[in-house]
Amino acid sequence: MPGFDTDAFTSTSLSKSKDLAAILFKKYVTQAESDTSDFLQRSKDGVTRAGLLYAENKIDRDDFEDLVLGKKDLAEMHALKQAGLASATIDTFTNGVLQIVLDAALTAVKF
Amino acid sequence: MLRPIRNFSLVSAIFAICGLVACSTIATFDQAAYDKATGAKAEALALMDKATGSFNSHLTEIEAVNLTIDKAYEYDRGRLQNSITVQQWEVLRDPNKNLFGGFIRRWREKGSLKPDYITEKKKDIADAFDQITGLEIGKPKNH
Repeated sequence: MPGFDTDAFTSTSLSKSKDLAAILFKKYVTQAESDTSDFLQRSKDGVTRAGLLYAENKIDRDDFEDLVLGKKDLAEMHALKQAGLASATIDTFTNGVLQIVLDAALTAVKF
Repeated sequence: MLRPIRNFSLVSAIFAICGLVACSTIATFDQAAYDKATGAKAEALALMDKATGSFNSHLTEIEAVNLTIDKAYEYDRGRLQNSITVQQWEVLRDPNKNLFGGFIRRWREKGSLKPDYITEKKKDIADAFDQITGLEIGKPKNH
């Protein structure tokens, strides 16, 4: 009579899902940290350059304020990008787990 | 533990559950959306170089670039589960903020803009477009 190895199904699914999570989320965190660090450095450099231009009278106060406020809007866009990339990582993980479960279920069926 | 099954009901159930649960939280990568955003970026930066001249003498070009950006925005608005990208476009276009929409507003209000300001602002606008294309590239390639 055909059977279904529930222990093998459960242990295989859990083990492979853990491995997938470790790889995907570590990669996401590493990239997010690097991307955010680069972004903050660019913002800092930009504000410094704007300050110098203002001090040298090459731009007026309105220009300077606009450049500084633009960094805030850029930060919002950066945060939105990171939120979207987190969602994309979760989707990749979810679909990966579903594939793992399907594969484990097929393997656990004994004829 | 090996549990007997008379048919494939359990396996069928697993397939059915997986099929139902297989949902996504964000749109997949779209080459057309990416191309529209990169095209809009190139046009916007080229237009900004002209802001040392008078706003009124560049009205046609300004309207053309705004239309390109509007098309890219509307294309992304029409995609399912794409609200984050839409929010990014809204920040970029908003005349009351300080990115491309704000740049055009300031150009209109001041008549023309200083070269050093434009050079510096272009870096921010390029970065803003890169946030949109960077998210697009990072979206799942397929589900």
